[in-house]
Amino acid sequence: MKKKKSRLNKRTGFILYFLMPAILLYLIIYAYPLINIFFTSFCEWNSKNFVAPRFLGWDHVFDNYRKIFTVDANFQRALINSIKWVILTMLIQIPWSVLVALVLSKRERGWRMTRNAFVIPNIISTAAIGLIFLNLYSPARGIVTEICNKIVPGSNVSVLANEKWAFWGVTFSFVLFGGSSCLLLMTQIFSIDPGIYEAAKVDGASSLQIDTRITLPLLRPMIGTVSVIAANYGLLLYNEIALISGGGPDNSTYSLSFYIYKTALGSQKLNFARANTAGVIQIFLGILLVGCINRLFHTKDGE
Amino acid sequence: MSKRKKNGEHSEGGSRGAKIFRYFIMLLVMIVSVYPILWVFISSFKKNPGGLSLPDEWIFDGYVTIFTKLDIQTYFINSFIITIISTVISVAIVAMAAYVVARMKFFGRALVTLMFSTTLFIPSVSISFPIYRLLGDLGLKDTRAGVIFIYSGLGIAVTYFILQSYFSTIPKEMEEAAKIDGCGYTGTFVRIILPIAKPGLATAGIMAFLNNWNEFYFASILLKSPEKMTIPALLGQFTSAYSKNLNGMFSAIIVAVVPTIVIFCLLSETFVKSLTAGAVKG
Amino acid sequence: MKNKVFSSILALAMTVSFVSAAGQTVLAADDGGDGLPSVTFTHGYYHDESEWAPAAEMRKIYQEFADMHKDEFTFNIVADQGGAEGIYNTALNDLSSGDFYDIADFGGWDITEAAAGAGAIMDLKPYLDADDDLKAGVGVCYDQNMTADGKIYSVREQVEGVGFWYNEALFKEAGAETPDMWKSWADFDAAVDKLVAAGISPFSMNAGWPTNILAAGYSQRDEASREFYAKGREIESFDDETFRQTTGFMQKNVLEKIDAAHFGPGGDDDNQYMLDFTSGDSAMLFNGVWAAGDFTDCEAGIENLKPALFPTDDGKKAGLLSGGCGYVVSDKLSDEQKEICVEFIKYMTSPEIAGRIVENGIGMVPSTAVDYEAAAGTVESPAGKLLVEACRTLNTADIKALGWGNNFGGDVEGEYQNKYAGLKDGSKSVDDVIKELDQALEAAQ
Repeated sequence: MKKKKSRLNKRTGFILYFLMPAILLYLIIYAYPLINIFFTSFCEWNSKNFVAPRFLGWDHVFDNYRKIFTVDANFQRALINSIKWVILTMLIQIPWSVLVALVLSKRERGWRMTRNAFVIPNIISTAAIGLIFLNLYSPARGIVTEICNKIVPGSNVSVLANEKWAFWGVTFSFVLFGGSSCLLLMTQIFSIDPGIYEAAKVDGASSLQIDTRITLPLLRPMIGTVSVIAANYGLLLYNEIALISGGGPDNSTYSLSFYIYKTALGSQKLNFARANTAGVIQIFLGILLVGCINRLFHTKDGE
Repeated sequence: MSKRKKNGEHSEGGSRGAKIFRYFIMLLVMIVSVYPILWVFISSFKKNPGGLSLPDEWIFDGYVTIFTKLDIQTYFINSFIITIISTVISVAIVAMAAYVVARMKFFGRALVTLMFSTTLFIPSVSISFPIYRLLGDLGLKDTRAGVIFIYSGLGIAVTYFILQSYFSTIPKEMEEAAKIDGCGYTGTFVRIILPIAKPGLATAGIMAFLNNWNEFYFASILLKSPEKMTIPALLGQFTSAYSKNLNGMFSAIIVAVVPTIVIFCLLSETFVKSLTAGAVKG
Repeated sequence: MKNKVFSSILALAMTVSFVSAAGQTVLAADDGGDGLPSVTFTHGYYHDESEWAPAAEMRKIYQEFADMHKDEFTFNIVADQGGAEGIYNTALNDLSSGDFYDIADFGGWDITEAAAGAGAIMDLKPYLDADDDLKAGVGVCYDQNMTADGKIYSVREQVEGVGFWYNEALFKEAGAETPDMWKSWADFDAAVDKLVAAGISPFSMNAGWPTNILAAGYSQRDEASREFYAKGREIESFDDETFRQTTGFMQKNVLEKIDAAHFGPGGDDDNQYMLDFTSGDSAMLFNGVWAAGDFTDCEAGIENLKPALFPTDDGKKAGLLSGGCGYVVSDKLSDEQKEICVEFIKYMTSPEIAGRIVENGIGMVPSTAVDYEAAAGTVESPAGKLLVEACRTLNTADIKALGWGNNFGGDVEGEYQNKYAGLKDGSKSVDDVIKELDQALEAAQ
């Protein structure tokens, strides 16, 4: 009995000791902003009282939330776009990364080069990617207009000047770049016990069967992890928008993050209260998303 | 077949159709990933960058001005110091927490995961004021140490998710064997878990490295002196300085991007070695 | 054992932090150590001379002031690598932790409302009222920057002077009447049609700055329109006949006259409209007087490029002149330090420096004391001559209105320029635009 207790205490001590640095870091960097965002979403806080947010009063406590959902068309558009981008990353980027990871894991000639190439768009700064696409889409010097004119002469497409196209313009500046997800998936594939494959091969399974029946199920937790990371990227999309479309044309490519920036720092009104209201919604949405993905991919982990 | 099995570096076979399909996908990946940069590279030699064609006349002006005028190596050294130290700190700290959560049941375990999840979604606009004030109070404004400190905390969620899912795939027997051998908790973690988890640590490290390497927002707020700035800040400077000179801007993009690509390609070889090392043990 | 590694890494990081922090403090203490009062001035002209020569000239002007007074006080000069925008962002961060620059040049980024609300900046009006030279030096800034409660928190040594530029050779080629001969906006329309008929793009636009300039110019066409425009930030609804006409004009007579290749997405990096003009591909350029600096050795031929004012329908000529936010001084400074800052502003707006700013092709000045005729004589470079000429032309305008963004505020400016793409491709009608603008006004409340 006694021995067990001391072991338990030792265990608790170990857990606390190992969690402590991370929790400390969290408290220093994130805890205050988190509380601040939450409380100021019930305040008036803009250029008029920039250093002193003022509580809205209990009668008007949800005013920011009410306004954001009723009169603020930019927020509504941002919310819808962000959800669309999450869905698109899940539907395009994840399957695409999984496919490429499976293909590359077969180690055909040139697989390393292809893998490195695939990661390149993820490792160079989004500032560079943004500039590159801005130029690619430019009707005057880019290639998209030139290619479209070759297919449909005189079409003179200007991707970023058209509301519907601009959304896809932004989408394709990131959605095919699943290199880092692919890298994570490949790590996992290579750590699968080769014995399992040998056994399957002996049983006469085709490589497609091996992929779908053995590799994919084993990859499931990692697919869950990369989905969380990728969906988070889609939800928080900011750099591509700021650099390529600037939220336009006519605010049609706003994302939640871009709305938050624009409302707080990008506007003369410095409406931090409204931005933080959107921030609260973004945080809740994000946690919901992580929860859903974790459930979907069943990344339950026992001791 | 038997020859292939031993040598993991070669194709694992499959039908002709499967091979064609694989090469098709690989080609697609190459086009999607490399073409945009190649286009910029070719355009950077044109007097008026743009279009599909090759340059009529090769112009090197952009590169000449960049290399003669800017102190690029300073920016690179800064980026290196800041990124490497912050990556090591954050991976070390998060690995400890992720291990505990992945392998042990305790009260508040879900809370720790929730805590890390929230960090993913906090808007950087909302976090920047408190951070700025914090660094001001600590006297770390406009210092590399301040940026290292912030970067150590920025990507913790992604690192956490990667490591946590990696730790949870390690067979439990490993730890039990260690316990029987008389290893304490810390000893098990250090001597058994960490070596096995090397591929996971390497992956998380690379992810964190890339995130920090490319971080722009906080770098631009926290660093003001030119001699402390990092590569992304340099690119930001280029775009405003060269917005009127496209040839210069395209050259600037290439100069900022190519070293990163080279570093990655070199690192990725070490990375692959750690992968295969892990695969043998796992 | 590995824990030791972790802790040593942490310890190392800490040590690095403290060492560099200490280094930092030592450096800071060095600056004002000789007993003289000291003020730090921050500006955004960080560019290397070869990138942008005016930046080097501005730094030289600042340094001369510091040298001139080095026995009386220490005037530290800091260039922010983020430019004016970086200064603005830092100021917001500083404000949130209770600090502010001693004195900084915000280069058009308006910090005054937030900073004044926080009580962080000083009112310059008493100093301006007490000194006629200073008041003459800041020119239009005095009236434009006065707040509703009669305070002036910022003045600037440069103003955004905007008319437009045209390529005389292209007008001649198309047989169109040149802008200096125009008597009304009907002449503008006639010239545009002739240019289009001759296969010349009349102008290159984008969903932003150049198009806003033309909209602001057209808004000065008659008394009724000017009256509505002058309400500026006080406007509660855009459902107004003159505004409807302006928007209709922008759609039918401007945006629909050019093809997609001459209409960019707008934004800081979209300079295609400039390139089109300097390469001789478009006949008019809507940009400020400072654009002259980019005309040197251009394909269009600098000798063909001329500045012009906007016509009106009642026989006057109109230009746009906006001061905007420039020098802002901390209220926390001692009286002695405040005097130094005012001395500096006086120096920057003096006729001598104003002349240098114009002659070096840096920009237009608000000072009413500059003799442009004399300046034209001293300048040698073609681009410099052109700038002086543009400033002189602008000075002769009968109507000097605020620019679009300074008039309506950045938020409305942004909302309006968003509509250009829809107006251009016909997916939005004038009524849609007005309805959406009113919705945006309501949402911002």
